[in-house]
Amino acid sequence: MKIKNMLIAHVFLFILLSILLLIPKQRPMVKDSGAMLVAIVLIETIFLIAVASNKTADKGAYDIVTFIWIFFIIWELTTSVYNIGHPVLAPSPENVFKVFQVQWQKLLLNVVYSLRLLFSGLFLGLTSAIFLGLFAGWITRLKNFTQPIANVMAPIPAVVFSPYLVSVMPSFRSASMLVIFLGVFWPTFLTTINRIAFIEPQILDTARSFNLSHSIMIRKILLPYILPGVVSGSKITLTTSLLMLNFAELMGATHGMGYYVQNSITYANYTHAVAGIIVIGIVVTVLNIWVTKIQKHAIGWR
Amino acid sequence: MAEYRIENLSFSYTKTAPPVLKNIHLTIDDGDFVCVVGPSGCGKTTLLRLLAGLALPTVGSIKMNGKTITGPGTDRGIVFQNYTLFPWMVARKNVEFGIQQTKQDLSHGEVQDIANQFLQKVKMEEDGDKYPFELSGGMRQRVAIARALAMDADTLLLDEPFGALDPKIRANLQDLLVELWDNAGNMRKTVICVTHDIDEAVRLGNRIFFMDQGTISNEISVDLPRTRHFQDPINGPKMCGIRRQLYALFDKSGAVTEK
Ligand SMILES: Nc1ncnc2c1ncn2[C@@H]1O[C@H](COP(=O)(O)OP(=O)(O)OP(=O)(O)O)[C@@H](O)[C@H]1O
Ligand SMILES: [Mg+2]
Repeated sequence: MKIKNMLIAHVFLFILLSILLLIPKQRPMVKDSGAMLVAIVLIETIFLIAVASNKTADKGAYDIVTFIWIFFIIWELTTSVYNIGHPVLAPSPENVFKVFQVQWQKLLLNVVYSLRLLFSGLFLGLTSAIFLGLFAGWITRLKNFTQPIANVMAPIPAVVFSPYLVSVMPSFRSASMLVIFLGVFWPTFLTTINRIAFIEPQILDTARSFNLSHSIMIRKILLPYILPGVVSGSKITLTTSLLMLNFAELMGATHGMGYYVQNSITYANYTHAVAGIIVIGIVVTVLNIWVTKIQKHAIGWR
Repeated sequence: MAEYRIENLSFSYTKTAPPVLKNIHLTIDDGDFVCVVGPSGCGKTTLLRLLAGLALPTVGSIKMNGKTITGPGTDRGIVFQNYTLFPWMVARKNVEFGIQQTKQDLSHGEVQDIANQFLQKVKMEEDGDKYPFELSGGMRQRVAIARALAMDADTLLLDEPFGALDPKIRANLQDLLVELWDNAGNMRKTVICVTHDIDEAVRLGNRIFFMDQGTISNEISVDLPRTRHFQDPINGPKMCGIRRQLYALFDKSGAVTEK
């Protein structure tokens, strides 16, 4: 089974490489395939490492990599080789990968800029939501007053009022951070107080029987108790905040991945736009893998 | 040492609700092993929570060693039927947490030593690094008992600690509990154990309180040696006699018993 899957993936890889290296291109102005070959080698290496380190017989990696090769074959054939697609709207893969080689510094800078924004918003949103949520969940009076507000705020996507925030906040950066912050804060806050409300009475009684200080009660009992709820929602939280981020960057940023793509499209530079989208895809994938790791770790006790 | 004096105790959960506990007077001496039995809903858990200080009397008072109980304290260790371990801590950490709350001046190493010692007593040292969800019901209750004992509280408050276990494991844990209690000689802890199970009360308690509709309606003293077995040729018949007495009380209370 494993060998068969391996074989299929490599047959397609072989076809892809043959097309790339042997068939003459009908489209003019196709750049050399060096950068693309490097990308292919990278993908193949990551794939082989994933297969080697994967103890479970997970076929996902084979399917994904086979899909990538097929996609590349179709892309290469329809653009560079037979020049079927529009030369501007459907850029050649060679040219797209060339962007990585030529513009890697610029791309990296934009990724760093986006991630800085994302993480500051995410971090501020999560920590303040958990911190305030713990107090609001524990102190009945605070809860009675904050819960109705949270119920109203949580379902309204921050995107809805982000144009307003952009005009109110002093800088674009602070506005987009606030958009991400709000997108993360309310749902997490609500999860936190709801979870505390449904803590098993016996756990609470047991904890109280130790005559704990408020500080230990919150840090050692309530915090670990609510964390799985927050973490299991963190995939959605991450997706939300990425959505917020990309949206925010469309509204007048001067840096960032969303801006890079938007800007490239404005100047009809679709080669750059596609390269930008691929980078966003890679970043999102890495973030997701990372969140999955955290989840496995944090929910270990359930 | 821990002795309790309950005077004129009444309790209701809300101002308007009828009282759950009514006019209870009783004395529990140091080193007593008290079992509280009674039909479901009669107020056993409520009484235990009041002794723990998790709720306070509406009328009357509970005094421990002459002092009115005003809240929970680490001088009373509690074991509930479910969810009594913190699910995010492995067994060992649960025991260590209990010790740390009682004896804040101990070093981490000393805490670990004590935890190990008590995990050994309940034969759980091998599974000390497992989370509660990885343990069977009986193992969890053993850890909970280890935690309560390791805190070295003067009183153990147990609310149907073996309620969810099969008869064999239940009997084993009962024997273990009695053994740990009995071995302390005249340093015995005061144990107050709520149970549904008449046989359990007969095997464990030297005093059995029968509770009905919020009052202690009867008390039976059990002056038999340990460890008690119903099959025992000498004590068995006496135990059966007490069991019959309790069944009669249940019948009179009009509630359906479990057996
Ligand atoms: N938190 C609460 N709020 C209001 N009423 C309660 C609460 N807990 C218990 N009661 C009521 O108090 C009465 C006594 O409950 P309690 O739990 O003490 O009974 P119990 O003897 O322990 O029953 P069981 O054997 O089923 O555990 C019941 O009528 C119950 O409905
Ligand atoms: Mg009960």
